[in-house]
Amino acid sequence: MALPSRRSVLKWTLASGVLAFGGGAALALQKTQLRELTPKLVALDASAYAVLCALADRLCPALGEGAPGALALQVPEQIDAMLLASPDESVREQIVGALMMLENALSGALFLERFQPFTKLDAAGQDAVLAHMRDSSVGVRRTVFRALTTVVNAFYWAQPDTWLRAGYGGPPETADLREMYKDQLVDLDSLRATPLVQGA
Amino acid sequence: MPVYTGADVKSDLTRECDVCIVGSGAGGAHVAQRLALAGKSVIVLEDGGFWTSDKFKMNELESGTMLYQEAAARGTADQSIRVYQGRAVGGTTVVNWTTCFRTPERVFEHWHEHHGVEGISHAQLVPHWEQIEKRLNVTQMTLEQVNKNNLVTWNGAEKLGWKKDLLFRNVKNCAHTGFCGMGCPIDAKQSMLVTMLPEAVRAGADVYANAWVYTIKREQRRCTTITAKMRDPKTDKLNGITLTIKPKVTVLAGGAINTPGILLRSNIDANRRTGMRTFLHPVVAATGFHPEKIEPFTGSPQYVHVNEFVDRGDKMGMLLEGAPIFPLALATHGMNWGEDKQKLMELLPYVSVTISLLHDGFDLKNYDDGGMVTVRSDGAPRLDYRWTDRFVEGLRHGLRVGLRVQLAGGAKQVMSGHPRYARTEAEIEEIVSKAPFGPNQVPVLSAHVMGGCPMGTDERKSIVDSRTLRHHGFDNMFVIDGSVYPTSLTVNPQLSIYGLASWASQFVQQAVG
Repeated sequence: MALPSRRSVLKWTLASGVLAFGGGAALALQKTQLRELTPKLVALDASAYAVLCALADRLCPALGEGAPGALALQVPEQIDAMLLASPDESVREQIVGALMMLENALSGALFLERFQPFTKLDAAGQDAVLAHMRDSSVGVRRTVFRALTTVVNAFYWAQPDTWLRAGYGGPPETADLREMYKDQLVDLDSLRATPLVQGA
Repeated sequence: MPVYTGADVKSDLTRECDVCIVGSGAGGAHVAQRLALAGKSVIVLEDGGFWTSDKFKMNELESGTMLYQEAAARGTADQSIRVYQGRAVGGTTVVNWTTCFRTPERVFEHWHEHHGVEGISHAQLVPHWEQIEKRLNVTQMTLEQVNKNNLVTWNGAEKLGWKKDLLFRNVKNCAHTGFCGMGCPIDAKQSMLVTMLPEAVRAGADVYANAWVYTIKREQRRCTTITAKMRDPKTDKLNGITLTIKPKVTVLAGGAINTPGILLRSNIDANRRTGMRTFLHPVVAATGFHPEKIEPFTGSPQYVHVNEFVDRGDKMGMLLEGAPIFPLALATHGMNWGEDKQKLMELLPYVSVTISLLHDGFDLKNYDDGGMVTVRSDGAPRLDYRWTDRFVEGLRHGLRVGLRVQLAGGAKQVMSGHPRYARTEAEIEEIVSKAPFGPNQVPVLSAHVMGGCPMGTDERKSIVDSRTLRHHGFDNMFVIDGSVYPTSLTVNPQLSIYGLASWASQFVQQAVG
């Protein structure tokens, strides 16, 4: 998954703040449409989670029976868990910064004449925001687009439930393969300082 | 002489040895094997985990988290170029696609002429390559083995009259499952994990996995201490335990990006060149949609290459290769979403891919070409890369020729990563001339990072002495990895680094005494 440059995100956040004091405070402070049911989050707050859900639902929507969307496959919850597990603590800060830039109604008003946060837009409105970020002349907006779309798509399309739709049958059963090729397997466990506990 | 993980180091520990090697990939593993067999006491430090083939996950997301730098999220600071580097005992050799090239003679000639490289030549490395190729079973693929995906690139080049050849791979009894990038599940890939490192350990070397080397300390011209922060192998998080090594000789082999990162964190940057001139072989991918099933996720990743565009005069040269694609990779490549993305994904079995590896580092009019490694306030390395006009022209041409190969190879429609679609050569030209090619406007990735600590004899312009690979500022510290290359290699780097490390091991041994 890709992440925006922290410096870029911070710079943009600062610029948004300056603009807000210049008269756009009401837009910048518009509330995020929170989710009715918010699971127990471990890394994200309710606002960031709501933006992530809206984004994931738009990027990977449910398309009928056999085609569950990102929400049904709990992509936002998995990303939340990943952010807690990441050994790089700055990752959470960067993802949250990117999500809030997407949500920010003030930047939407400046760049796209939309006056609502991302979470309150309909699908067409959200598509317009995403297209504008992708095609923006402002580098950091393109960075945010790439970072967020990459992380959502990665978590969605890595799930076996999506593979059949992509005509991908999944990997071979490695236990069978290893049995077939057992004569060439290299014994590395004997090199360990501490023997592995079976099943660990 | 075992392999320790973070779980084995229960408290702060200090050890002494003849040679401490930072990094266990293509460079570090070879040096470890040579020095251990010579009877020297060797300690290898590796940031990544010790994963054996029964633990590899055949899932892009899981393997990315387990086996790649920054959980496969490494990239330039603006995320315009994604950088895939391995992070495990065995380094990138655990996850590479097994393609082997010797460093081309013309590249050495360029280094001799333009970068003050002396004391090392193509001819000197030939005996090392011959020995390694035998040990790692490096053999050329046959046309009968080529999978449908690579056959498209081969046939397209044939039809266009472009020069091409079959690739060499370091595999033994390969099942051609196609999962090289997620770690070979049957130890067919002759990576450092299953070859040089076990030999080194059996000869007496100790390997510490989950050991993130943070800084090195110096006294005058000697490296005296290496400090590593240990990680909990279950969470990969730092656990507060410090491993301190006091070696006679140090070898930095953490790879481009990480090796300059260690030097910069340690304030070792006398000529302000450390981390400069970092090169990526930036890759732009061309996708073709075919009437019959290709299944680009089956068969080995790479069998063929097209070398028609290696020399483009003043413009950026490039090498074309076949390349595999799995669901996550296709989904994160195209910059579309929603129903468009779903429709694209349903076509995956009919997709074939040709990649163009751009040869960066050869712009004689712009010495500070390419990328630059610095360190963030938390100590992690940061990479920035310059999108020059020359580079953008290279991207456009790389996409042009990749799409043309796909079309000539039987695709009914071709696609750039924007995504934009074409059915004819004229439509390809439309994409190449009119589509945007700025940062994050077209997907670009890299799996080959080189430079940052270039070798040479001029201490003002290079970091490492090309006659020995000893760091200019030290009597007892060497850099032996892809960071020493003054330009990109123009070919996949693993075999080049193996040869270089084999050759340079003699100087490390001499320094130990």
